[in-house]
Amino acid sequence: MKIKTLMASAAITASAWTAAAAQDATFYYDKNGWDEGFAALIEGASEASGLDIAGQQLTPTDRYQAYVMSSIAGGAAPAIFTWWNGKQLDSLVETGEIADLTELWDEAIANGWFSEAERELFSVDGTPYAIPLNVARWPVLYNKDAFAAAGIDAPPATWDELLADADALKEAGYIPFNAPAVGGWMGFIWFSELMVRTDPDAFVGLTDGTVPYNGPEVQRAMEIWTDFYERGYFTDAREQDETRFMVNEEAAMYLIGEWTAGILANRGMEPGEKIGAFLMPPVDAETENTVIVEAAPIVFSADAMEEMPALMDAARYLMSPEAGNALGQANGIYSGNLMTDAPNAIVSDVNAIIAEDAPRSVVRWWEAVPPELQGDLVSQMNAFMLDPTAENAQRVMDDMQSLNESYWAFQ
Amino acid sequence: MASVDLKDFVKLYGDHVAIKGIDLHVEDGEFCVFVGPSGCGKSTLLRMIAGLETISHGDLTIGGRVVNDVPSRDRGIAMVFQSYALYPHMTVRDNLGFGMKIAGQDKAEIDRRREGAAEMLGLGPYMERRPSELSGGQRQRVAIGRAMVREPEVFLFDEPLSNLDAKLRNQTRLEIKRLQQQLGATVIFVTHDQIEAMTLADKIVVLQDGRVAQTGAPLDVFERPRNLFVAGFIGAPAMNVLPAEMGEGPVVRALGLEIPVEPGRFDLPPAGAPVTLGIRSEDIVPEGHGQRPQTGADLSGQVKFSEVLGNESLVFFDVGGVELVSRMQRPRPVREGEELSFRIDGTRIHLFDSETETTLRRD
Amino acid sequence: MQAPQTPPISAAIRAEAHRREVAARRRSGRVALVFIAPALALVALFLLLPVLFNLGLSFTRWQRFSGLDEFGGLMNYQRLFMVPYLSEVVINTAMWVIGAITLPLAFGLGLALLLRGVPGEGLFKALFFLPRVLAPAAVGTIWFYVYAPDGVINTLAGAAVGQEIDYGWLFESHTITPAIIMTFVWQTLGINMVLLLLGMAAIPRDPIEAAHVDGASSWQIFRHIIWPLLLPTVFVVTILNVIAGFTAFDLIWVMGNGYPAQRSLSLAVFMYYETFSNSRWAFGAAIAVMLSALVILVSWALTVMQSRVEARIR
Ligand SMILES: Nc1ncnc2c1ncn2[C@@H]1O[C@H](COP(=O)(O)OP(=O)(O)O)[C@@H](O)[C@H]1O
Ligand SMILES: [Mg+2]
Repeated sequence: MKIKTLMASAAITASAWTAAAAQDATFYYDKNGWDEGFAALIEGASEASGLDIAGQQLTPTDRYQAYVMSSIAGGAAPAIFTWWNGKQLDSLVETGEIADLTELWDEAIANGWFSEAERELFSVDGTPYAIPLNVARWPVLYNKDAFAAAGIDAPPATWDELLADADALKEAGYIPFNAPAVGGWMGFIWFSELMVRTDPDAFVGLTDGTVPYNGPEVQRAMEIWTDFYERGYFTDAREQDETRFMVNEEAAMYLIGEWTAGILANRGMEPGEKIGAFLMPPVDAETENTVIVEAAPIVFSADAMEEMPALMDAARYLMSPEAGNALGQANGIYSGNLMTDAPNAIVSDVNAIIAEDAPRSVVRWWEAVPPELQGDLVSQMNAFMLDPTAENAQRVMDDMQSLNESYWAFQ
Repeated sequence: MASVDLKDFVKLYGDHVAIKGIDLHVEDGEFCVFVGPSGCGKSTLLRMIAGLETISHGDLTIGGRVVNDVPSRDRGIAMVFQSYALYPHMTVRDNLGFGMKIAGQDKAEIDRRREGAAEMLGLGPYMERRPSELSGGQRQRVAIGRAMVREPEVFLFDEPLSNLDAKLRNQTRLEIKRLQQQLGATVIFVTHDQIEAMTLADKIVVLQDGRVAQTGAPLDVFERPRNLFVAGFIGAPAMNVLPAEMGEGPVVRALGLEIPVEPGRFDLPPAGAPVTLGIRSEDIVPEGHGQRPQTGADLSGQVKFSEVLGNESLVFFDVGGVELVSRMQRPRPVREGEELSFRIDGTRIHLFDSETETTLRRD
Repeated sequence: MQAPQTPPISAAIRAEAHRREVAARRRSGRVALVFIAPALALVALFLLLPVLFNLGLSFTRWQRFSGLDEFGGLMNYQRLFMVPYLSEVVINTAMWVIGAITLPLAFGLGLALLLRGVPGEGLFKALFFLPRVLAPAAVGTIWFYVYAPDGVINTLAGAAVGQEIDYGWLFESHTITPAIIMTFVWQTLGINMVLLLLGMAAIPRDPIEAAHVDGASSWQIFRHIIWPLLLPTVFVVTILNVIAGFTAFDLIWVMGNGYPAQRSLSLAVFMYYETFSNSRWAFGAAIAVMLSALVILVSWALTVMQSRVEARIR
């Protein structure tokens, strides 16, 4: 018990340093560059609850996680903080320190703010424990001028069209896809997408240990990926400026979360005018149409909620269309609230596509995979991107599977 | 062994002229001592001979060979430093053998020379020790041994005794002299101590401010100092020096006395001209101590203080406001303020030109 | 003549002498304690306590939010040997330690010998020392771009051979560690040089001159006189380099950012990666303990050797 007390006092000391002012609650987050949006959210939440809520950004992410974990280990969870969903949310909820938000979600769905699909994203074993900060779908962003130059009048609706368009773009002097591997995490992007486009069930199976990383399902995706590299569809994975080839218009398409629309807009590529979006078509016509969804949750400390019932009003505000619009206006971020205005043309395009095609939602690989495997596996995927040969693909698959196996064996 | 010749030696450190034109001949097998006050350029001169300093101007000849641009190691010299300069990380054995080892001498020869030196210097018991485990005198002997095993043509010593205590210094001085005689070596020895210079040298070179003030055999320099500087520097205590005036006779007038002068010995200025009179302490003889000089002058003075040395005392006394020192043989205790009578030995006085400070002696 | 016999010192006098010595020592000890107490308290609070905490943590089952109170025995230490890429970590760390000892020392010594007494010595020294005062992260960023596929090195090499080169120095397993080590050398050779110059300045001139007269060439003087007398300094520099080599982190963290197997580039990076990126704190703590043990062991051995050679030349 001693070590735990020590941890708690360390965390409390740390929080005393970082947020010295006397206030009722502190909202911790690690999201870089969303300061304006957070300021608006915090102001609104304070007003709605009558509490004095302060914002506190902590970066980088590893330090942020370390801070939150040690606070919780010491029994002093931050009152409000951002987290990650999927397995990360599961283990957080397991601590018993996180407030159950079932009533709030019932209310929100009754209000028409969200649907059951979003509730699902923020639930652990059927109980919602978080509210959405951001819900982002992963479409392909494309340069409309490049498509026009290559004589393409509509985004591809089938796999063959996608290949044909890529070839046409190459012909017109473009590299079809911008595919960076910056920051140690981007390796999973194409891996997940190709899995989803060939076998969405196998994709889900990968994340719970039921499908091996070197089985036939993954072999198939890796073959396509290798083939795409051979065809010269991808930019140099060693480039460290992830949007460079999009901005200088050397590359025509970019498979990425829709929040990138805001980044491209800041670099002079206006969503809707210069940039459009489409969902990558499945490889086989019979494959289920699917969309990868990334969701960033906000969670509340159960203790804080009990001590300050008014915190629920803050949570209600944070789920509201007003909060969604505030974040959208400030930073172009989409909260997923169905009653907010789309913050940009990309989000409204994707909203329209999803309304029409009703694709199946799957949680992004990064959140779906056990956190302990994230880094080890994604570094293998990155390694493939730097040396995209069939031989290396096999090695990468085998290495991923041995890591995966030993992890699940331990559980 | 070899002779050493310095021709018009000059040393410049930037704008500072440390050696101002020196010519010197050191005979084969001669023990030559450079003596002079600190800073007069003794070490510089020696280091130029050793090849540790470039020769700014002039020529150095060792054994008939001009060696201006020859590196140290090929000059046929060995040097003993004031600080001993032993290799601190090597044993005595390796210190002695280092030079020969790097020269690629064969082992037997190295051992032969090393054993020889060790025996001559009594280093046998210390061969495996490192310098830090030796006393000052032992270190000094290692330094000398290291020079010896090189079997050089010329030995150079830079104040090798100044870090030793008085007793050890006397002892080592004798050893060095004996060694030199045994080896028949040419030695150039630097010291600021005129007693050391007198006792060791065949030839003394008195240096003053980068120049040679006088060269000669020790007694010669002592008896016939060429100028006031040498007169004051050689001999302890320093010679009594006082202003005087020529009188008829001829006599020298000083302190109200008239001291008769042997006319043939000096180039005397006319009567009434100023001169500088020098008298060594042993030539002012206290009444009743030692032989009374035949010619000279009597004076009396009041004792200020005395230095008792045992076999003699130095008596400092006052005569009309001028302080003189006398050497009292077979001394008796004297009190401060006591009146004593002395006699100056007129045959041993020194006269110098008041302007140029050079001697007025003819020889 | 015989020295007069001194009467034997009585036991009472000896006891009294001992008492006085002890009292005097105790007095000065107490004064010393007063002066070092604040430093001692700070060391205990900010160094000893975290180290002990870390040691304790390494024996727990702590992972993410739970297991802090569960004793895990040597579990975390055993786990270290099950890491599939452990050999890579060890090889890279060994390269770091060896490279960090030898290269800055060799280059620093070369420069020190070269620069000693040349005109403009001070300026050169400052120039070579300059990289040292830059933050490693900044240095890493600069060199990341120097080594980049379209960076300075490839551009120059390309110009030299007359064809375009876009080699990814920091993306290939066999060049990344040497490349980062070279940056480390660039950054640390200045301090090595300055320390060696200080060491050389402390070597008395006399034995060197004596060796000159004794017939030694410049190389022989270096080999037989300067080098042995410089050895204590060399050991001090080596100890600093060993610690730097074992704990190399910032540069690798920045320069290895695009390299997929970054975590295996050194033990320190591996430790950080497991602790913070992977949130395996107890495991990370175990790596930290092993790393510290290694550093302490090697530095201790070197310190012992250092004091031996030091004693030898005193
Ligand atoms: N390396 C040097 N640089 C400049 N001046 C020097 C140097 N070495 C000696 N000198 C000067 O030369 C003069 C003679 O010095 P030195 O030969 O050492 O005197 P000493 O007679 O005491 O051995 C002194 O004025 C000294 O300051
Ligand atoms: Mg000197």
